[in-house]
Amino acid sequence: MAEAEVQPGGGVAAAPEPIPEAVGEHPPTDPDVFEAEMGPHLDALYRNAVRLTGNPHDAEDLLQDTYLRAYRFFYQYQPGTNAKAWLFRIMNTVFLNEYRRKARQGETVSYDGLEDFYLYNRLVEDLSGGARPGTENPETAVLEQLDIETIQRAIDALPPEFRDTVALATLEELSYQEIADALSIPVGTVRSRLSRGRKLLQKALWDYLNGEEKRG
Amino acid sequence: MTPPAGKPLETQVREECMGIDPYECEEAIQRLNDFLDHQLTEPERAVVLKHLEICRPCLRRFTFEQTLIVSLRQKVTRVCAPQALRDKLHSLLRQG
Repeated sequence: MAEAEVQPGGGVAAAPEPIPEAVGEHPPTDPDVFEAEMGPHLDALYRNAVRLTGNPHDAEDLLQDTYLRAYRFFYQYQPGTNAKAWLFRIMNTVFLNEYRRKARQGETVSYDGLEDFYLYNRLVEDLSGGARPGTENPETAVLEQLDIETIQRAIDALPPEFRDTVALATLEELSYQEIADALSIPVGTVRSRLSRGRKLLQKALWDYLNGEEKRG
Repeated sequence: MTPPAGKPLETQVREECMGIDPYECEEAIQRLNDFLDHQLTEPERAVVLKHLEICRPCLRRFTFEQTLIVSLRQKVTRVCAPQALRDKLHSLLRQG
């Protein structure tokens, strides 16, 4: 029973957990109640599935597996707790267990030395050369040039462990504790991955932005 | 999903009264992500805001980071689950 519990706010585990199987008696789930609670998170789940699998077809399968598993285990969900974090955790567990069996684990790359405010500093350097005068906020004006495809390419290019943390915090607005629960990592790891991951993302955005500008 | 209704940072800092700056820049910057992601307690947040009142360069940098995050979020969260998939899930839940 204990290992079948998939709830945010619980302890943290280092490794992906076995996927729980339904055990014992529990009342049948009303699909309308389930959809009212979980349906609002489908878009966020879909975006996460695309990021995890890297393609829309597998993303749909992953979302379907996640959603149906959540339905089967809905009796374990405590109403009023964070449904989004609960769903993300199930998706991450399903993904690690069933979609990424052969995946490489524990990639070690050094990202030390990347500065804080990477993108801001590049833009300020760039603008001090006299580009774009007369705008009140020249640095933020540049952000309007970033389109969805560019942003997604930059996020997808991050190493997976950074990508997941950065995306959940930046795009889906999960708290650090919720991210820790969803990914089964300590909160301290969420912080360090976010810190490095956001710098990496800014570097990638700068590279895309710069490439675009040169071509344009 | 609506973006947070947080006020721009410039409007959250008071300029008329300079106090004692409790932080060096590095201490504020260490809390950058926690600050932007609303992970600080109210007293912790107040200390960072106090630094931003006094330190113009940090205010500009923090403001940029906040604008960047909100801009990325607003764009990417326009991607939605396909309607056909929603319909399929809806009927799957109702197949015994």
